[in-house]
Amino acid sequence: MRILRLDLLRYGPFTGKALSFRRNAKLHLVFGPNEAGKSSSLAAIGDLLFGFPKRREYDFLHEASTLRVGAQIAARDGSQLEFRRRRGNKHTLLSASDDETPLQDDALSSYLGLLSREVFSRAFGLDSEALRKGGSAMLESEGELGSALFAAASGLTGLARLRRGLDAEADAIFAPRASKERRFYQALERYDAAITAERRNELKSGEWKALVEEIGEIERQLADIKQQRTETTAALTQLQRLKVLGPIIAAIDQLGEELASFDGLPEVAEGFVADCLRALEAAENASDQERVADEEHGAVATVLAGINVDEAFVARSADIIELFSRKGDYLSKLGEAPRLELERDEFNRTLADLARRLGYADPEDMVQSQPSEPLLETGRGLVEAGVALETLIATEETRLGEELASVDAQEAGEFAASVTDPKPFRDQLAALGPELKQLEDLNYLETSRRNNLQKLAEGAMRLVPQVADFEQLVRVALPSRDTVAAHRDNFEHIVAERRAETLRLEANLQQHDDAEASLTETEQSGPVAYEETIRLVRADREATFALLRDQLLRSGHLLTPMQLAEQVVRYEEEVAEADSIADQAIADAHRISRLAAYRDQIAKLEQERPAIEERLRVLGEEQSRAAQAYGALFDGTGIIPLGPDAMTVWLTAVEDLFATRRDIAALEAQIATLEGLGRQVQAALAGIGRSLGVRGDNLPPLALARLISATLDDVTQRWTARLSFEGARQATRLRIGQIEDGLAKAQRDYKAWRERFDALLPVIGLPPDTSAGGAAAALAVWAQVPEVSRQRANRDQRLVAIERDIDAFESAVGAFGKELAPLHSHLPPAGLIDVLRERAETARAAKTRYDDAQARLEAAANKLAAARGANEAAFAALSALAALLPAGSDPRAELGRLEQRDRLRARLAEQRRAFEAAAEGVSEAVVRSELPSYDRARAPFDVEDLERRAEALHHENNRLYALLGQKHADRDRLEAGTGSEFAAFERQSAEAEIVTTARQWAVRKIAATMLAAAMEKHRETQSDPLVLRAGALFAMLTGGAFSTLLQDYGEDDNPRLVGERPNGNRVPISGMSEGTRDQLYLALRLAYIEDFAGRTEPMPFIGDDIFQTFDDERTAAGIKAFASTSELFQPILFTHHLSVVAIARQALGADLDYIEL
Amino acid sequence: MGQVTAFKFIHAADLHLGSPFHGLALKDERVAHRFAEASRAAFSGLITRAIAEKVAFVVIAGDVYDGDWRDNTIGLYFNRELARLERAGIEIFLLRGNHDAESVITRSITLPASVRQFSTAAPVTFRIEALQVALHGQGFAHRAVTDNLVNTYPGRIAGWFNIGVLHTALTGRPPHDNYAPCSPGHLRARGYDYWALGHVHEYETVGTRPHIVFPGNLQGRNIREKGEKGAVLVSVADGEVTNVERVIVDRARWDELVLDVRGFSSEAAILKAIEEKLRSVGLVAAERLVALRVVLTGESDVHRRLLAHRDQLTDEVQAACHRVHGDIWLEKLEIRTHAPAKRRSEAPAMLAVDLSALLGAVADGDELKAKAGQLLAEIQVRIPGTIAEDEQKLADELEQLVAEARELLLARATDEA
Repeated sequence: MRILRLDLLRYGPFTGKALSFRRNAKLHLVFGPNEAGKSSSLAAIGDLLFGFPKRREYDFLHEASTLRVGAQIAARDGSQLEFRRRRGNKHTLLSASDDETPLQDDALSSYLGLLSREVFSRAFGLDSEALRKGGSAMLESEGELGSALFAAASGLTGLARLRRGLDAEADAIFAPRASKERRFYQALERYDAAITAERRNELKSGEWKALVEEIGEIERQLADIKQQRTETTAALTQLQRLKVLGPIIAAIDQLGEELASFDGLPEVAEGFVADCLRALEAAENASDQERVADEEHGAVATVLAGINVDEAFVARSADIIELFSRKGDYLSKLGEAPRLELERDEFNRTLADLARRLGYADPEDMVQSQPSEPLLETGRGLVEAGVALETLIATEETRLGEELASVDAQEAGEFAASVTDPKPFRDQLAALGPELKQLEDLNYLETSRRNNLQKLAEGAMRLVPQVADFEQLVRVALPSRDTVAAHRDNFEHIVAERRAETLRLEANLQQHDDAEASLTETEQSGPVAYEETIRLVRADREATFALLRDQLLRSGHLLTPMQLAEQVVRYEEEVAEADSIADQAIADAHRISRLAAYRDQIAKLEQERPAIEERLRVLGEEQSRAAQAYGALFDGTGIIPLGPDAMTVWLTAVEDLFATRRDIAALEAQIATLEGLGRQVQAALAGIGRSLGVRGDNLPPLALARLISATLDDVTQRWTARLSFEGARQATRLRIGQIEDGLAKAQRDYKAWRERFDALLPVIGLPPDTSAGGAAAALAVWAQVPEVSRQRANRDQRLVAIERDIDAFESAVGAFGKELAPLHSHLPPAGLIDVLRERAETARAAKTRYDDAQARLEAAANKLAAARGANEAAFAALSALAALLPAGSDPRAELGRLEQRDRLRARLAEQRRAFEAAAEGVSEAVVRSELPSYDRARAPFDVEDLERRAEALHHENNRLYALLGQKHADRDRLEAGTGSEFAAFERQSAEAEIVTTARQWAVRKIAATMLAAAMEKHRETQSDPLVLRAGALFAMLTGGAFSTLLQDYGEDDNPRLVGERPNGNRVPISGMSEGTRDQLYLALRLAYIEDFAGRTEPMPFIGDDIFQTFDDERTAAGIKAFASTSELFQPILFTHHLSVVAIARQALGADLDYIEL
Repeated sequence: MGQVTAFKFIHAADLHLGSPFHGLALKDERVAHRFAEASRAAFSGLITRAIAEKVAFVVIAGDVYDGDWRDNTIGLYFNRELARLERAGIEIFLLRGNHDAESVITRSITLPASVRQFSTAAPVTFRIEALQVALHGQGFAHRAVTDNLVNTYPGRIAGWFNIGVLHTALTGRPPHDNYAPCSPGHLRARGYDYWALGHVHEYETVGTRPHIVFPGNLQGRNIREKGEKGAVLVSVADGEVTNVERVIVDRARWDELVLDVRGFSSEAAILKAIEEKLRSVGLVAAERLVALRVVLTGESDVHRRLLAHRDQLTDEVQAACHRVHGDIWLEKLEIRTHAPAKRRSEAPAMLAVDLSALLGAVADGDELKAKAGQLLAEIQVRIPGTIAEDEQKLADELEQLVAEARELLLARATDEA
């Protein structure tokens, strides 16, 4: 498949960009500087052929769904297809027409074969980085043939490393040699540990039975000890009991005897003695209380008799105190009356003054004549309106005077001069605008013309070779630069070929000399057993033998025995010689063939030589013809041409000067046109100037235009001033009219007002002709009258009320004084009331004390009665108890005996309780029966023995209990334990891990094996011609530094790739420079692609700046190598280096298809 | 039927005590312990439930033990749990199955007095007078009982509630061995009111007139025993079954999550989908441990990457499990995906440029298989023989291993490039 045209319709930075690939070119070189879209175009080829990837790319300018790439492609069989590709999952192939009809999804299959995008981009694409990686990978695999070849073929590098990596991973998992570092053995160890744990943790039935039996035995022993401890404790208890109870029994017996002496004393109820003693005490207490109550009663009665109460004052005390409370008010009113009288008099004087101001003799008349408030309000309104009208009339009259004065002033200074309207002149000047604009360019054009003239003169002087007359060149036909380049290429081609032929001739002569020398050297190493010599010796031997045979077989002997013997000897010698020569011939076979080869070579070299010499002669002639033809290109120019490169520069410079010359002519034409225009404009401007009175006929048009424009600005200013003056005069006249109208109306209103005002005056008590101001003053006085009148009435009323209160207080106090204290009635009321109040208070206090004493007396009488009753009751109770005692006995003595008997009885009861407490349920009878056998002296020793025994039993018991607890715990643990169950789980877990790990190992190991086998298989399928072709390409790429590639076997018997020098030296990959390794990788790559192309539909090879690391010589070799493959597939190289373009041009000439992005 | 009693009983089977979990490679010992204790915990849970429900009796229809034990703790444990039932006044009826047949279990721990075991010589009937319940049954004398035992079971006791107890696979329930074969028809012919069966590890109600029930095993032990596990609680009133309720007691759940990865363009997307599906697993599991197998199927563009990064992916899936539920443990990640079908490109020219084609040609060759076989033999001898043969025989997986190796190579080679 070849790409004939690539359409970057909407893709990356491109819109509607088409790249055409020339059909018969040997190499397509696509040049694009940085940022020109080189990587976009490379990606576009992949997307075009294999579809857009799912990931969105190259949609930064065009929306992803509208991205389009198209192409015209051709298959080897000549069929062609034009199509487009869009993004999407289905029907992404479209026809190349604008309707974009979908094509079959497999429409490209006959062009792409079985290739996938991945394989295509690796095997048929190459960039500088991949090239270097390929070279390095070959070094890394030490030239190991299988992987080197496959890496070159597929573009997949790093497979050797991958295989080693897999092997290392597998080794970390498992290897036949056990190691704890390996995961498989770790799992195995876990497994073994689990099995051990399983055995260790399992509970065997024997263990269980033994444990159960042990527990039984311990329990039996514990029961036995329990019995013994019970017995010991009982004996000990008895001894301790008797030790305590013995003395108690003795005490009991003692008390029994003491109680016997009280026989005959009556049995009385419990508490009798205490009751009797309590009754005695109660009777004594009651008697004491009666005496105290009697004394208290007497004391209270004495107090009561000493209190004296004034009942009359008690009865009137409430009224007296009430009256006393009004004393303050009375005193303050006495002081207030004179102040009120003064105020009343002041108001009377004010009223008299107001009456005088309004013209009344008697103030009371005025008060009576007070006009109503609405009437006064009306009056105030009229006065206000009148004052306002008078003010308005005065103001308007003043304004009218001012305006009239202003009119007079205007009339005096009226505009006399006439002014011209500037508009028509402005319009005329504006109409000339475009022409004036054009005239402005004139200066610039003239400057340009001068500059160009100078540039032309200087450029012509700088030309090398020099030109005598530049104008002459214009008339001569100059060769094109392409023509010069073609001549150069041709010339160089001839020179190169001559050089090659010369070298060939030299090589021929050298090889001839070498062969001759080798021949001589070989021949000198001894006589040669040529075939002819052998044949001759053998013939001699056969002749001798024939003679000998005749002699021996015939009956008659012709020879004497002597002769016969000689003949035999001779024969033997000849046989030996023939054998010797034949042996030598066999031994010399190699030398013979070499000699023959040297002779052949010499003959061949001699045969070739004339042809080379003839070719050299022809090339010499061609070279001089080419030189002549080149010189003829510049006939008529008057110069002697330099070399093609210099002349290309010269031609470029001349072309530039021609262009400058053309520019000058164009400028001159423009200047002439504008000068004509200038003259016309001048005439028109002069006309306008005359109308405006401008003097400037001698000015150039642009200056004249500026002068006219300035004059017009003045005229315009004057014209505008006149228009504003007229406006102001009209406005003043209008205002005078308005003021006159207003004044007339105000005077009419004033007349109407005067009529209403005159009607009002009598009503408010004013004479006719009173002015508005006078009326206003009277109205103000009337406004004060009501308030002053009201204040005066208020003072009169308050004086009457105060005098009434004073009289009432004084008569009340006098009445009480007469009734209750006649002796003090001479006192003023304020002093009298004080005396009355003091006496009333005293009487009330005496009454309170009397009532209190009366109550206490009653309480003391009651208490006395109660104490007497209690005394009698106590005595009665005491008498009743004394009746129970023997008649005639001393109650107190009897009570003493009874008390002593009770104490003895209590002590007996206490001893019995002590017995009960110590006996722990054992009866007194049992104890009394045991006592006789109790030996108090021996008892401590017995107790000591028993305690030791109990202690021993206690320890044994504890030991057995602890043991039992432990055994029970063992049993519980075993019962609750999981035994070996967890270990079994662990084992299963480890088993799972072992299998998983083994599997992981197997996959990695098989993968490594598989990869090695694949490389080997690949190597086996590669035919020698392929390596041979790669060798030829390698020779070409290295410029003959290497002659071919060979397979060599290393120490490990693995085939390796080596390069062979022309001198036969073999260089392993490790011995090659980095650049040479890159070239080797490239050679292999190209050979594979050629091979691929030979077997199936070829794909274009796309290189992306692959020569970045190459020097110029290697680059040229690489370009030629690519060109040499173009018969089989289409080589396309992208580059952004101009040097590569130059080298390619030089290397391929017309065979190069240069495409610019 | 004359009785007017109402009572409940529990019917369980297939405890398989002492049978460890299978196929779970756990590194965390605490978690391993919890898994290891699951079978016992499930049984203890059942006993607790029986006591709480105040059931009248418990029937265990075979396979209490997984096999003869060397470790007496298993028997002790069983005894201790039954003792709890005895203390609660609950009777126990035990029948031996193929795993704990008379000839298989040579050891014994003396069980509580309230435990009654069916004879293995002939069918017997146990009566519970107070409830008027009769239980008929015969245990396995040896592992492989291939006779139809039902034919010799006694006739029903009229007016009583009759329960048949039997360890059987009925007419066949693969993968279970077809022991004590009989048909539901045979069972019905006895005229009993309830058939308490054992042996099949899946819960199944075979029939309801009368009720013929497999309760399934108490606790799943490997990936083949997925889903809820437990016993059944049977309610009887007036001589008739009124309710059969499953009692789920398993403490660790085996589950499988199958994800068709068709259309997923990255491992991240697959992990996200797994995590989403995991939520329902986590919800169902609640407080339980879960041993989860994740199976990826379907045609996928990332097939190769999945295989190449299997270890890393396994870790990621485990991490996703833990994000959803703290106790979901990945039992295994099975990658059953396949690459999109492509044209076979093994034309001679392609072998030179296409690694995939070249590896394809090698993989199909006998030479590689022979070499791979040798490699497998190298490690096979180190794998302990105790592991089940079908699981450890790598040679049986040769084709699969070679395919995986090929995909691994292609993925890594692409990564390298």
